[in-house]
Amino acid sequence: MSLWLIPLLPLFAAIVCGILALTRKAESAAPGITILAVIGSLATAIGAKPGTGEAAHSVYNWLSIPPGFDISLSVYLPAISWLMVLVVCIVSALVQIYSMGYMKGENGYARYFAYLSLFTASMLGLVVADNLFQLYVCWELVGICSYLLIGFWWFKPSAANAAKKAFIVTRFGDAGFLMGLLLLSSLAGSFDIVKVSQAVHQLAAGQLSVAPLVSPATFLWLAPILLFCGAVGKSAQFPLHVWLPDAMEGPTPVSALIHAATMVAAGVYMVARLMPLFETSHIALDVVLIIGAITAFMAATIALVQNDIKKVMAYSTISQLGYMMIGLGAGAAAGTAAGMFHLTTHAFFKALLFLTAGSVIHALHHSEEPNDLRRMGGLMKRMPITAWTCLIGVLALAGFPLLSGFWSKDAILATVMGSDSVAGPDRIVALIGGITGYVVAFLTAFYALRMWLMAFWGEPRSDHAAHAHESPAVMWGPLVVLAIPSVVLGAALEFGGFTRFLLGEAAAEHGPNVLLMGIATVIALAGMGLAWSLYGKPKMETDPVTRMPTPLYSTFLNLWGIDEFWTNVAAAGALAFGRMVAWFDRNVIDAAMHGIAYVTGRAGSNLRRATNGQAQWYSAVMLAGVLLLAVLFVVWQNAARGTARATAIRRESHPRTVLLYRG
Amino acid sequence: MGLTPYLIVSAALFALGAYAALTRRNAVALLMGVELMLNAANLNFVAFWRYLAPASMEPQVFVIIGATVAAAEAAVGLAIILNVYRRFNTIEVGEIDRMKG
Repeated sequence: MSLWLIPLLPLFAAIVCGILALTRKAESAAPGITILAVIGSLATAIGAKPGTGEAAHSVYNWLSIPPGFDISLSVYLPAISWLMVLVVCIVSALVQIYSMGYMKGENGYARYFAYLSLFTASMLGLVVADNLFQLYVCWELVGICSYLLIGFWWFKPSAANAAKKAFIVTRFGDAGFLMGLLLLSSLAGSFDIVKVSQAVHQLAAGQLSVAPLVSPATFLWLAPILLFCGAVGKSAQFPLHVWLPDAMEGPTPVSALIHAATMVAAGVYMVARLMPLFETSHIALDVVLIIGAITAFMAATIALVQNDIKKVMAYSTISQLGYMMIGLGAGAAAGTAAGMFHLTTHAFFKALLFLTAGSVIHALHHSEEPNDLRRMGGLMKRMPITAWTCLIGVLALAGFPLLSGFWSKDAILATVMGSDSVAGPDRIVALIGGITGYVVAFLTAFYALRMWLMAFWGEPRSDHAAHAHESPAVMWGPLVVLAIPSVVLGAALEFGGFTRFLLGEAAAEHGPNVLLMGIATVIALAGMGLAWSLYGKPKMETDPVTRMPTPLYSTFLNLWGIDEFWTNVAAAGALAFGRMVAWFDRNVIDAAMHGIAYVTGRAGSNLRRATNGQAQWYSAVMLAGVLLLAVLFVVWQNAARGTARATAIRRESHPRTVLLYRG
Repeated sequence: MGLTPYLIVSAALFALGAYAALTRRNAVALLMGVELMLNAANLNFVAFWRYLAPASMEPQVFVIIGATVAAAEAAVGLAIILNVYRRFNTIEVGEIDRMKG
């Protein structure tokens, strides 16, 4: 029963803070409540042992639809969910502590924490779900929280638009997700994930049939791919990634929690959690892997040329999420483990990076362009703690040897390069994914160090940067705490039997692959070396990335034209269609309505003359009416009598015809 | 003599009454027209009784009730006309045209 505290404590805190925000009383108490709640959830989760038995599973039967279709709410903690609960709680707690400093004095302080806590509750509800229904409900709830928090500064048009964009773009993916889960639950007759995967495996073995709409073979790849659509939207994969960079309009701690560490990882988590469904189809795994590879590569190239510190990180996040998808696309236990491994380490070091970016922005918040890397420089001396923790995050992201990103990236690359073609994706696809992984590793190392050097190294390039100060302890404290897992978590999980922990004793550990690790190290060091040679100077006249060949540079700067595609083709197409419908509405439907109203009105005003108030006129009309009816009645009766007579005559004169017809 | 002549007389009486009721300007004359129509109906009743159902008593009862109602109607009608006169200071029906929306 106490398992229910995990999602309910933050929910309760969110309600309390919501009341505080609405009544505008004791707003400064809000973070205390929400942080206590999330720490309570964390303690509950740590107290509960992960597992698949009764102890880690609590079900509340919410709706029963006879015959035998139940919709339940549940808290279920297999290892993979337990791990996510810990990640969500820890990052959420640290981000909320950090927010106390970052959001100090903002309007809507309590509202901010109410949203954060609501998000935490929804996210926890998502990860502890044992059925697709709860997963979907919470999936939408985190989307709502993301919308609310991106648009937290709703008075800025850019923030309001970004919030709408995030919500609408993810909706494209969610439509597929909903179709997929309805398809699967109608197959299994249940939303339960275990029952659904059993049903899918029975279908694959030919013991179960589907409705005649699709063949079993089609069903097996279609259903996972529809589910994957949801992940594409939520985890910002190509081609629906366009919302995530815009989502940086929200407060930076929100970006750290929602748009780097947890919510955007929900798609990856979902694919990992439902891996039994994906595993039955080569095609589904191929799609996951290819989409992941495209996303990872494209976002990394865009991150090369960005000058907004948060945009660099946003594209980096997209790229790393693509990386996780590459891992998952390798399928089977190893792929799931590799994807989740990278998810876990990434959650910590990317949250760290975002929070350090927030710290820098906080220090420069009097500048008109506090996010612009070109106006930073030399912050190392003025903000040493931020600079060092950021460097740790950058090195972890770049895959510097022995830091956490190094191990998880290696796990993904080793899995993809070594994936066997029996249970996994097609060999050639896996190979492409692996090679892309190495290229992206190089690009990542380069842009990560470029960002750090532009922000912290050399001479200050603006007055604001020259007079920046270190952030308060409530902000740098979480940075230091997050720096620890960024350094050690990778090695700890690598040598702590992560795969066995995640997927049970039967799963095989992949173990470090020294050759691949060596290649990855060389590549990461090469990327960082290139960044150092270009940016490691005290003075920077022009940004060296602008010197790369123009077609490449403009492609990257134009975001590969995908935002333009959505704006000019998808959005403009929808608008044109809307205009057509509006024209039809105005000129056909409204015209018909107006026509009917006009005719009725004219008829009324003409008929009005008949009511002249003269009793004699009225009775005359009445009399005329009665006479008319009488005449009609007589005529009709005569006609009926005539027909009856004619029929009778015909029957008498042709009796045989009837017989012939019968015969 | 047969039923038909009675019916013709009755129809003529009814038509005369209706014509009077619809065209006379004087409310008293209008009332007289209505009386004619009622009596035409009564005549119909008697004729039908005599020729179609001489054994039954109901048509006679109907006629008596009809005559009674006609008398009552005349009394009520005259009372209304008196009130109309007090209200509008005229019994010209053409000038009383308040019955419109």
